[in-house]
Amino acid sequence: MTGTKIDNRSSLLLRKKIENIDVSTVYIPITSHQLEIGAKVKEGELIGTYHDLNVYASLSGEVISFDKKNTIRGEEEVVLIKKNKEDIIKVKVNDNIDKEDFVELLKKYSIVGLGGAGFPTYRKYDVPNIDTLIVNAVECEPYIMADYALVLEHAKEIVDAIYKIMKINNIKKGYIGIKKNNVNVINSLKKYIKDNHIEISLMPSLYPMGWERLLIKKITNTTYDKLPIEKGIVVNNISTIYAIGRLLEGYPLTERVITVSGQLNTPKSIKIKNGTLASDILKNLNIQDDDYIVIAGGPMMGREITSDFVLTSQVNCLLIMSKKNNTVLSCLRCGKCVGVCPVRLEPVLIKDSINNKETLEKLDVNRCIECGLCSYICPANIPLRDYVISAKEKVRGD
Amino acid sequence: MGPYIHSKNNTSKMMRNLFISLIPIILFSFYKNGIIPYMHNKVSLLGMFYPLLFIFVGIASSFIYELIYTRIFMKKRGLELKEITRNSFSIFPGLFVALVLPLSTPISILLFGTFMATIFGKMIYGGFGYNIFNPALIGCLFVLTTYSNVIVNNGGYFNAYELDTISSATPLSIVSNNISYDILVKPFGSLWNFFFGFIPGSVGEVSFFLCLIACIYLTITKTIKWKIPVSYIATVFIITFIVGLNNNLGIWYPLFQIMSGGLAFGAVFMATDPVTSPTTSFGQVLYGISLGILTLVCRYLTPYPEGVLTSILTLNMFVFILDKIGIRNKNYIKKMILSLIAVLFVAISLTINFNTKLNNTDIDHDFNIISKDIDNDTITYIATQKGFKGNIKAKVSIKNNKIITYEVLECNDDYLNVVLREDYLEKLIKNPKIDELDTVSGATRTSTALKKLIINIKKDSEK
Repeated sequence: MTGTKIDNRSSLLLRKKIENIDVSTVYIPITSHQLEIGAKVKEGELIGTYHDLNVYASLSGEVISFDKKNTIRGEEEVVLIKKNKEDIIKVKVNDNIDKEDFVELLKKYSIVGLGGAGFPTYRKYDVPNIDTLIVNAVECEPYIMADYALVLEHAKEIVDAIYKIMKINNIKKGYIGIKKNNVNVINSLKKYIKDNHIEISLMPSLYPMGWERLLIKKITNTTYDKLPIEKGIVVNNISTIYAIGRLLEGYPLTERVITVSGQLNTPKSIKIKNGTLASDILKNLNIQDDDYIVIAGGPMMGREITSDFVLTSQVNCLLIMSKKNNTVLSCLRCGKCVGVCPVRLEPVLIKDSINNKETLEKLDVNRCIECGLCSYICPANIPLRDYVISAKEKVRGD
Repeated sequence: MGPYIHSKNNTSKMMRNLFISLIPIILFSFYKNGIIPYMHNKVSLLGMFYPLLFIFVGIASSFIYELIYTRIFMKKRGLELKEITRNSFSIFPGLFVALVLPLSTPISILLFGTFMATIFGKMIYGGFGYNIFNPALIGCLFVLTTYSNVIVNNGGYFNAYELDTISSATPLSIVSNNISYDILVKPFGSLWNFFFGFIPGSVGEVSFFLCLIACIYLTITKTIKWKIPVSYIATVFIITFIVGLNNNLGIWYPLFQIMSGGLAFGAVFMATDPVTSPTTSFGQVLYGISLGILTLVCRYLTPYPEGVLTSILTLNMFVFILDKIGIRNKNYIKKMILSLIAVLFVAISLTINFNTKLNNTDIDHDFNIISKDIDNDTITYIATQKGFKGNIKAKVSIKNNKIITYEVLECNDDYLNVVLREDYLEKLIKNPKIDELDTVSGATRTSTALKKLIINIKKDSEK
């Protein structure tokens, strides 16, 4: 398990402050509700459910319609809320909240992982013994700087949140994993760390250093089978920690910081409300995407989107990149894909046996974390990740 | 889909790096085989540029062969002809054939070699990326098995200058009962000649130094699978070091072995051909070690030349299995240990075998002279030779290197009468070419012993 040095472009952003983007309408994914057109809602008000998570309005205003939009999970039903005032419904939190109430709070207010996976956070804390909290501030994909921008402006709140979480859950030790060359961010955190219950762990600038399994191995030198909690470890993205801290202060999760970057001259960190339409962001920043493609997420694991796409809390980046047409050549069997895979797979052998389910099972394709390094490194531009994903479907499916 | 950024390396860059690493070797060949002979007035001005012409013919011919083949046979693929040729790197089979063959190869035979390399080594499999065997070595194999006498008659591995200055065979083809520095290295100067490449050999294989810096350059630019040349050369070095140690030869012996026979060139350029070598890390290490072992088997146990070529082509067949061993699934550690044990076992047994080969060439420990009487020019020996069941004692008289009488005095072997029935002793006495005389079937050991006795006596009488 190791990472690889890849082309990393992000230091430009750190000098700029987070900007606010004002949008008039949000499009919130919802599966069950009792709203009617014209209904007045406030920011932070419970308006329905999305599968088994509670849904809260991210703007104060009026329900104007219902529609279908594309989100990171596909085409979904959304409710449109148009803004007409600034107001917010705060959350009541006890001063000496205990662990059970804490888990309930996370569950009720639908805190999900803001690093990109969107896993319901309460489930990580709904366990009896947690020894270690690891805060993932690595943000290993190129271009993405959302976590860093957030830390630079809110380091105190974040460190306070970590102490609170550790106290509530009786966690003995906390680590903040962060790339060692992010000196500004490291120093801003160090200022507020009072004792050695929280330690900053410097990570090498490799990809995918932010991958949970690799991060835990690097910081605590432990491995686990399926979940980190087997070894008493909980990992949270640092933006999620900030969201938990805000929740403990009474503010529900209705907004987040994202990076807008790519081949633009002026990359930015912006704060957006949950349910913002991508084209509204681009219009607001005067970005024309005629000759470009727009990607939700990072350049390695993100997806190309149309501007008719709604950003939910899982999306941490919008990239504007020029279209590339790389011709695919014959595999020269150089073995670079084998050398670069963080889970020690052999993508070239998987590609060779793509139609042979037995061989694919022997090659243990389900280990793949879809990081994209194999496609990244291939000199012949072969879309290896697609082969491996297809192999996974083949092994799982029929 | 897929990542929207890409690393800067691509196939064209890798091929470019490969060509760049060969430029010093090409220039050195021009210097050694062109400029130096010209300066000593052994060749004309045209002869000075001949090495460059030779290499150019190699490059151009394989490019043209591939172009024609693609035109005729690969049109159906619907790809642009230009694109196919740009991405196929067709100069390499021809270039490598020209570098592996000796300069005295006639141009027509070189063209035959590049034809076989390009068409039968690469194109019939489907072109770049689909071949199983190293194309250049396929071409050279055809040339060397079919036309080696033509090449030898043309000067063999010696260029015009070396023909006049070096009075021995090429380094690895020196057959001698006494292996020493003076016999193997001194005829060519010193080990530095081997290091820099001022020894007879093919167009590109002679300079260990240039192959070394090429290897370093190609490893830094991540162009080749470095584990292969490192494990290959290390294996050859370690085994020959042990053999040398057991024969009281100095460190020069393993160095001589790794710097001759085109080993460095084969390890760095031929064995690392990406298409025909393993993709897994452990597979590559196993490949290199196996190559080292097989090359030494060719050098020590067979009289055939081209150990490097034979080993690489043979192991190309097993790359598929080597990759299977190198798959990093749950059995990985088990596979690694088992295969390393197997390889180590083979290596150790062979090293012991190499040792005895080296030793036995000189002294036959099964032979003992009991008495030796010289009467004018007739010598009468009473000697023993180990037979099937103990020693055979015989009385032999020899005059002017011809055997006069051969009498068996004592023998415990049961099948002696079988041998005597065949008039074997008469045959041994009469036949001048004793080495080629067959043994008696059914009594092999006994007849071999009787044969060896005569050979050893003859050797002793020559002293």
